[in-house]
Amino acid sequence: MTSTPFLERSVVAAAVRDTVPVAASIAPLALVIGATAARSGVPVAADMVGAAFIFAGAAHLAVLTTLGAGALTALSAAALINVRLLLYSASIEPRFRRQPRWFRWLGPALLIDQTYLLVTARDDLAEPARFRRYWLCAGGLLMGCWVATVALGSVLGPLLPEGVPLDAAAVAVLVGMLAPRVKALRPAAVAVAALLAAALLPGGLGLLVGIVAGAVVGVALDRWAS
Amino acid sequence: MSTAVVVLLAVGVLSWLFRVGAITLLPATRLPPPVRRLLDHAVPAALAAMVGAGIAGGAALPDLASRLPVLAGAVVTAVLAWRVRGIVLPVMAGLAAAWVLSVLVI
Repeated sequence: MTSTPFLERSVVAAAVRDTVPVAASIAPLALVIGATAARSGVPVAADMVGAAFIFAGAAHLAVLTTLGAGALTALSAAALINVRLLLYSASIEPRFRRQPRWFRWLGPALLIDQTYLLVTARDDLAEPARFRRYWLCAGGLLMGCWVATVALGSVLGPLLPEGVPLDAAAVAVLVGMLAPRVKALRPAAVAVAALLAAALLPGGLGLLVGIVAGAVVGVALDRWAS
Repeated sequence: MSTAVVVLLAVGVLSWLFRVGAITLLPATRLPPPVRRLLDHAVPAALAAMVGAGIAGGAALPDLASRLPVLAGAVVTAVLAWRVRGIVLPVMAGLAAAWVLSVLVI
């Protein structure tokens, strides 16, 4: 049979084709993270390991920008941001049900917003081996590009002139990620509550109170609407 | 090992636990409903709180004049991100606005 190698090549090609534009779209965030880490005095190698382990831009950036308010605050903020991964893993669990044990433990390490959206947008990955190849290829490629771009940001960061407002870059990237999620009234109200609380209260306390305030407003609006 | 590295690694481990949580450890259907309802809103709340904290610059009742470039960059990015697909153009435009304003303010 010659169909299996052909299928392997086709699924790998599809994964690469789908992943390249996605990798380009997350490159600015990776560059900002690398540059921010360099300005904060985090060694390049440590930030690369962090990028691979966390593999989630907003949480990684949260650690770097809130560390001044304390380690526990930075850890809590990043955890609250990444808790959505629990929802993604719940949603994607059926795709992992018939997979080998090693893949059920290690494969989810590649689960991020982009890989979740990539596989849920395809209807040709029902066969476990095909899903596994696509997942490893797309997720592996994305992680490789991510870590390399964070490293590039770490190298370029110190070369930037002092006047470059890196904190503005970090905020702009976060706004760019937030804006598409708040086009409806309810998430917009959640965002306004969280933003105001975080801006008006000091440091890490503002961040934590802001997240909780936003989520509570969301739940209250859900109840009111139902 | 510095605090930053320890926190980065801790967040990495925590993130992996979230990732395998509902696949290998505990099915998400067993989470209490109030927790699931709060989690539904966690992402926009967390991102918005980070934006608010970033604009304020880590201090309560910030001196708005000094944070004006960051605020302007955020507004330009938000307006463009609502209108165009992708993050690159809005972020570049927001950063350019912040940079120009910071030069003018200085």
